[in-house]
Amino acid sequence: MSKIYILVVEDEPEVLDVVVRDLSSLEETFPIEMAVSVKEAREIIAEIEENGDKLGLAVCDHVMPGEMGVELMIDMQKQPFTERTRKVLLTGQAGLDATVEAVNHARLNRYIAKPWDPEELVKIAIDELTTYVIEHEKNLLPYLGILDAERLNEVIRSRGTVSDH
Amino acid sequence: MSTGNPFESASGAAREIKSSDAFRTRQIYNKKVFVERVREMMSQAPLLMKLRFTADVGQVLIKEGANNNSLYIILDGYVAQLKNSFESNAAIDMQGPGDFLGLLSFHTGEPAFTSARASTKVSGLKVNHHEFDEFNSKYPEISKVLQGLVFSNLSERYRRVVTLHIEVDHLSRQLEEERNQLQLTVIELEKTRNRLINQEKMATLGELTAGLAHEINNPASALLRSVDYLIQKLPEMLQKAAEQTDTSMVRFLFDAGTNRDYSDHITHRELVKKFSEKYPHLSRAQVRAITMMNKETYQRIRKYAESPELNDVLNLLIDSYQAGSFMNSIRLSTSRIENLVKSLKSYSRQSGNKPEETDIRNGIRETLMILGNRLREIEVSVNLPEIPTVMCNIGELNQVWTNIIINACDAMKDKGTMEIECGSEGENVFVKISDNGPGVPDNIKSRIFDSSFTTKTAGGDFGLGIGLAVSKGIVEQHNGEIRVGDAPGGGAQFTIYLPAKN
Amino acid sequence: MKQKKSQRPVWLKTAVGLILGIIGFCIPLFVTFTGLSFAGHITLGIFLMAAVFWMMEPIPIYSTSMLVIFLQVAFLSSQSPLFSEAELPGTEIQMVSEEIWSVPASAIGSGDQVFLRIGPRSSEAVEVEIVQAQNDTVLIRGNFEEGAMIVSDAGHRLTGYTPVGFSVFFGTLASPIIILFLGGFMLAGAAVKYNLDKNLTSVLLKPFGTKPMFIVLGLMLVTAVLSAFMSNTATTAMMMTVAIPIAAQVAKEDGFRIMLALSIPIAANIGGMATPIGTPPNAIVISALNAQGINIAFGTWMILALPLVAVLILAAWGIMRVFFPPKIEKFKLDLTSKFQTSPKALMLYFFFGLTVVLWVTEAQHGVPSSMVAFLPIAGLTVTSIMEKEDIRALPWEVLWLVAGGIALGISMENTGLAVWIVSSISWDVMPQIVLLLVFGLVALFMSNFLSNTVTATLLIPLAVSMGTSGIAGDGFNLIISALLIGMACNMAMLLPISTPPNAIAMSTGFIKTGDMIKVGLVIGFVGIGIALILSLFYWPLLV
Repeated sequence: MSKIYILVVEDEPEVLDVVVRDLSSLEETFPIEMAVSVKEAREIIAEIEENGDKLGLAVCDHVMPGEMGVELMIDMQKQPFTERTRKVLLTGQAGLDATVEAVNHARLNRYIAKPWDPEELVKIAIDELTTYVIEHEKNLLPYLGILDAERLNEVIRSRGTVSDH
Repeated sequence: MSTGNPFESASGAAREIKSSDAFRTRQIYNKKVFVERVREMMSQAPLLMKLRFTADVGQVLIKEGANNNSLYIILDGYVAQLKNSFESNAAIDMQGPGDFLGLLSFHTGEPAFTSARASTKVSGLKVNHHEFDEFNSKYPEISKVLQGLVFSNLSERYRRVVTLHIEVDHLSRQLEEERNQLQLTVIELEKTRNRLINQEKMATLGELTAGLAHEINNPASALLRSVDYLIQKLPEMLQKAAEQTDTSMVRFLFDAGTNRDYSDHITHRELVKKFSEKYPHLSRAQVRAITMMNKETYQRIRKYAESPELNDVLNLLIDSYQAGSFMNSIRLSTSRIENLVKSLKSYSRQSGNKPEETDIRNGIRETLMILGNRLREIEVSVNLPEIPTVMCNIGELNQVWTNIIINACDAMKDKGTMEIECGSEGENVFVKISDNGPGVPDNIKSRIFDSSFTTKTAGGDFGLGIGLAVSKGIVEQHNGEIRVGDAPGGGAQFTIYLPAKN
Repeated sequence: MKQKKSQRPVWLKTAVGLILGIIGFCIPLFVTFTGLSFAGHITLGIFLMAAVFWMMEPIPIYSTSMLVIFLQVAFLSSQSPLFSEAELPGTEIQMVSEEIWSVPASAIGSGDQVFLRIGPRSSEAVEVEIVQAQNDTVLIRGNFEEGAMIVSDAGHRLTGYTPVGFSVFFGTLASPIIILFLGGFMLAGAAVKYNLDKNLTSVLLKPFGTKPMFIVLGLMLVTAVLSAFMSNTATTAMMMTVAIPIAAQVAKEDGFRIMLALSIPIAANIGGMATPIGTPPNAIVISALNAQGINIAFGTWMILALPLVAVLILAAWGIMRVFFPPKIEKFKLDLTSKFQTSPKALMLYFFFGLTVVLWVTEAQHGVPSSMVAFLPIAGLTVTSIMEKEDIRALPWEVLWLVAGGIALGISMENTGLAVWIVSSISWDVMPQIVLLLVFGLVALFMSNFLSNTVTATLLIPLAVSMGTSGIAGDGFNLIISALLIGMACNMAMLLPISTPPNAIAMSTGFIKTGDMIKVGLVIGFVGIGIALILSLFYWPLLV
């Protein structure tokens, strides 16, 4: 079974550390990849694609040296491999412009302001990953315990993805 | 009234309405009629023909201050009356057909009050005292008309003097009013300008705040979350550590965590892959934590990683490493916030209005720190050798550096290189800020510091686009100078000169 | 931090499964078993392969069923290359003296049998006593008619097996029980589409008040009722959407939380026993009995099963109360029901009600339930209540799974394989009650690790053949043993892998495997016990 990855892009290692730490409850099911720049993020995405795995969620800082987070997200929106990846912008500051751009062009799914509430971050990650697996995975059972079980059960019920045998 | 009189202006029209009543009863003294009569009489009386004179353009008939023995009656052409006291010898009146010249000086024998100079070719009669008497006695009927004309001419002149007075008075009152109005406008303008400058300052501040939010929120997040983690994990860790017979490893890993350096993520990924394959019993979180450690640390923790039985100890060791690394994170984040707050404090220092002796390089450094967020994608090379101090208000100068750097960022669309250097030149120190943006076209170089000049579109950006004008004002207040030129790389180069102290 | 389990790579398991399955298929090709016909050997190969594939799942279980049907069509049908041209060689039996006949030595099959040649492709085994064996003729003692034709080659592939047309194997997919299931699927699909299931749940749960124990009982009863007509899995998923928000508001250490999550799969599994369409094993039981000319009406099944269901629900409820006592005193359920009132929804309610009533009253009006099942099939599509996409979304693979099981059962029966397998043990020494107990326990054990349908598919033909062949003695009741095995298959709820409802409940993370095992064990043994009691004292009254 191909793995569904979470990618965290954040230029400051201390911050990257705590983001990953906060998301680590999801790590056993959704391996976390870390990137300190947009460039590195692109390499990681390419590698994930090469391995035949999937990228379910990208949590991205906006203000970074080199390319900005929103640029990465717009780019991801254009690539078929990452088009359906759930995209979350995590930033201490983004002008309204950047946010509007992200929402319009990158189909940004969520926006989290720094400093964040860890429970809120995990909740959003769970929410977005739930949407992702509902859209992409046939077998939802492995995610019932870690993601939004209520939503997944509703889908199992209405779609009949699991049947008696 | 003479026709074609250059004095016939708007106020002249009003004057004519007032004087026309007086003239209506004396139609006989009409200048036209009088000229026709005189011409008629000239054809009959040879004596009159003898009095005939002509003057070419520019010929002076009467000179101001000289005695005048002739009375001129103009029949054709125009003569300008000039007064020396007026600016550039301006014409104060113009006399045409039917008018008299030198009437007063001729009768009183006093020096002429004004000069008279032919403006066109002039013809008429020129009469001296002797001839005047003769004329009087020989042509009494004409003389009667003449006298009437003389009086009417005099009274007209008198009236005109009076009206002129009134007019001058009126004009000067109007002028006064307009001047007052102008003064008010100037005050108003000054207020507006100050307000605009203030707004510009606020806008810069707004931008700074937005950038600072990011600068502070990042370490604040790391700080907060690290503390959360420690609060949550420490009690359990301590308890577990207490159960260990030998706590030296726990201590070692904690220390290793506090000295952690952040690894290259590409090699880290490869390590993770290798590890997961080698030790399938380890969880992802464990692998991630172990692969972040440096070689020495890893060598010491290795035996715990290899054996599944020691997994609990491994977790404790990893936790203590992470606790150490979060401690380190807290230290780094706190010092970052501290530095930021320090520079912010010194950056915005207003120090009253008193200039003080300053090393302006500090201000530049603080400005760069504060603007760090905006400069993330810009390669800034800073070359600030020792320079003499300057008497200045550092807060205001920081505003100058900020404005010019933000201006450069805008021009470069936040991508490119920027060079900041300083030096001294004679009595002055200078600061050069160059970018590799599109540069300033020559035709607008002269206008770039005008407050009315901006290349920014309305509402599209922070600020009002008067940052450069504000900067110029500030620099000039410090008796300095700001210049714009081309950077060697093709972008814009702003140079600020300030007088060094002594 | 969770411990990562070291797992063998998936491909290894797949490879081992495939290889073992193929070996299983090949064994009867190289080893000849005494007393088993040629076709029986082929069927044994298919049976062994299917059993391995179903147990190890190198391929999905429904595709194993399809493979079974394919192999039957290819090797066992009268149109298969093995049988299409074949004809039984015949010879006239020669009378030597009274009751002594002379036959060619080749006509004597293993186990001292000769085969009467009834037609070119069919024969009948007759046991004889060998009097004297000569070189190429044998003298036997037996009752034959003068001039009767016997098969001259007892080892011929057609002896002991009359090939059936391939449409018999295909036809299993359209067998009455499959159609009955399809009708159930259509009703359940439409109910889900129009949220009838959720709304019914809300309404039905209301009378159960605010006491946690009664809320759990309510959840269990509603789940059982729904799962009697819908798939257990779909019912569990739906009920979980009701239970999860409740559980989320309950303290982590409160037993109420475990009860909420555990009661639903248990009730769904138990509820599945209540009607013929409740779960696929029921279909295997009914079709196996049908093949013997025994018809169990929908309503009859319910009368047979309901006491078991009711007792088990109450038992499970009581067990959980002991194991996971709720701490919370009161819980206010926040349920809203909003029945749709569009013309289509009203039509659906009508069809649903009518079909269920007609099913339950089958014994009164005599219209077979599978005929009634076509009412919703036709009615719901004609009225566009179920559209193309909805029909596509039905669990067709379950129908294929059951059809493969039925098809395998047919060949096991008519090639003599089933009888051959059970006849190797002398069952008649065991009292019937012990026999039933053994069957029940084996079924319970197997279905805890295998698919319930697969367990039923593997066991029921054996039980049926025990009854028909008389191996198990006169007291052996075919219907009761099949029923008992079917019920035992549905009582598997020990492990998360036992049934999909268990897997769903486990995946939600509210319960530990240990909790499930505790309750599952008790239910399993209590269930078998009650079923035995019923099969001794209650079922015999009805069948």
